[in-house]
Amino acid sequence: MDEAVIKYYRKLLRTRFEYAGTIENASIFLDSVGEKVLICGSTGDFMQLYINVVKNRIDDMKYMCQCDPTANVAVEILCALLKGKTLEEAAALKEEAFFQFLGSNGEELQKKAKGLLELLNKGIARYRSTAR
Amino acid sequence: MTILNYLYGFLPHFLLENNRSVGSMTIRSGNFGQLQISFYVPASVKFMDNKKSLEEYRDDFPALKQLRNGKPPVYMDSACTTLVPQQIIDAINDYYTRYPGCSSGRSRHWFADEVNDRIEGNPDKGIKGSRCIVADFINAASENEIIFTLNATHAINTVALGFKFQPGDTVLITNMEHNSNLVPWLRLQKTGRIKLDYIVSNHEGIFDFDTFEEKLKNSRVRLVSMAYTANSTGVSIPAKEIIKLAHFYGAKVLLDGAQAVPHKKVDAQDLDVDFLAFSMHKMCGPRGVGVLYGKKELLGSTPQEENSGTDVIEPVFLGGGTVADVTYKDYSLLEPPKRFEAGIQNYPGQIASGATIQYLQNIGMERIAAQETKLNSFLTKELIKRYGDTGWFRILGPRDAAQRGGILSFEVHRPNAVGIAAELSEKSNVMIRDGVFCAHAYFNEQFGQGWAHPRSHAEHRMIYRVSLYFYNTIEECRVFLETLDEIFKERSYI
Repeated sequence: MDEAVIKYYRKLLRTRFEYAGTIENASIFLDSVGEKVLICGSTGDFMQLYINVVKNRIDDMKYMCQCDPTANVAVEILCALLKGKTLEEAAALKEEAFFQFLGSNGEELQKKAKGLLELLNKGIARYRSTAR
Repeated sequence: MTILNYLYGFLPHFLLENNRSVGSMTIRSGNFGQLQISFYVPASVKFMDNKKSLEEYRDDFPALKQLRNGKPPVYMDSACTTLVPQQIIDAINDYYTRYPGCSSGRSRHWFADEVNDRIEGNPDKGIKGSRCIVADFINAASENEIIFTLNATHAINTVALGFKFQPGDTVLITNMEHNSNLVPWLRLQKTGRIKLDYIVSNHEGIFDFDTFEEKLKNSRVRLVSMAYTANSTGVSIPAKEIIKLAHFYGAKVLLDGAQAVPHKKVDAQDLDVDFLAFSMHKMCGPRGVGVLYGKKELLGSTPQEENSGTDVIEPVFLGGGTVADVTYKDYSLLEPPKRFEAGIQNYPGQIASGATIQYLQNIGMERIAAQETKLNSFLTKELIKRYGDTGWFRILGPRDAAQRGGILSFEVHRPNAVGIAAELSEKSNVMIRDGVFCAHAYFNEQFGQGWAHPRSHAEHRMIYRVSLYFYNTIEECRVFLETLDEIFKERSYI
């Protein structure tokens, strides 16, 4: 595991995973189980994203997961990066933002970030199509 | 018996000296008094296979000779399926290469005779067939009590679907069953054919005889169907006592021996078990071959099923190979075991099953059991020393490794406890199992249904199972321990 990821994960253990939790009636709910996307792999893995959108802006974001530490670090970064952003800004988010945030671009983090952004963009597209 | 055979049979000790095996032994005889014999034999001559150390047996396994990232495999998933030695691969290849035909129950020619000889035996050629080898291995009264199936699951289903249950009959199982010995019964319960009941063992795996007897006394228990050794914890039930009590109350007993027969001596007659199911692939054998042992009187003898007794199981599948004669109105069944083996059989697998058992017998079941206990004790001690006081690490079942055979399952109750098996494989080629090991009901009962989908990081947990066999070594255990420690450190668990 990447040293920067390990360091950040330690912080998450101390702070008890700041963005972990759920949002009731979230505007966008994304559910990824098992091997459907890269962010999950083995038995018992899952990742759920809850995004609340107010006036086209991400008002709140939470997640529930059981995944490997790198994926957990990635989703915490995603939450921190997205809060307060417009949907356009969120959709334009690139993997590089994760690396800048953490100060590292390990291979595993790249994979997880890519998987999360794909999931996010699917959710945004779905939200836009139903919100019209 | 030649003098050499005589000598080989008495287990002399050999040392290698100048490319020669040097042996000596002492014979005590009433006629000759005490006689000391020394002899020399070229090293190329192989003595009884059980002279090989367990380390040497590892050479038989081609899979262990591979490297990935410069490291050998550390295979600790034998409760799932075992590695296969070259001798068994050769036995399978032999069929496809030399005599890939039906058995002579169907055809009468050279290849068919070769197949038949290897499965059913041919005393004239001095060939002991696989069926007889299996029968002797579990001490069945006759080879006709050995039915070849696809696997243990198929064997259990053969009893479940073939047993003549009456509405109101109860089937009694434990709370630690593999899905193979649970789902078939749940299905029968759904259709109203049986009532399913459970015996709950405590965390130390102590069987609750009081409740067992109470249920036998107060319910109409027709069949007790239990895993001899639980695949989740490695704990064995006191099968002989259970069978005795069940028989006292008129119930028959089916043992799921999938995790027991490969690891210790199991004697069907001594146990007095009615049915015993096991799989070859869990004992270094071919995939796709299982065994159902059934007492002769429970497998039927009449050509018509409807004329057989109430405790006799009926064949589930019928067709080619199961019948003696057929008209457009009726059919008559062959004698067991053939009536239970419908269609073209897995001949290479059945032939290789004989080779498999002979391979294990050469090693010795006592040696296999002792090696598993030795390795499991080492691992248990080390894991408890390292993580026993953390509060988030727990070994399932009794702490005493001797009660868990080759199985060591542990719970990691920490945030994101999943994925450790994959990491062990990625880092050091250590192969263990995670998840619920096809014992969903047991873990759902332990942790609550939906436990695998926790609501918070505090609820995260995962179960891992290390399952050992005779080919594992202390060195491999060290690789596992060190890699696990590295993962725990990276995850800041320690």
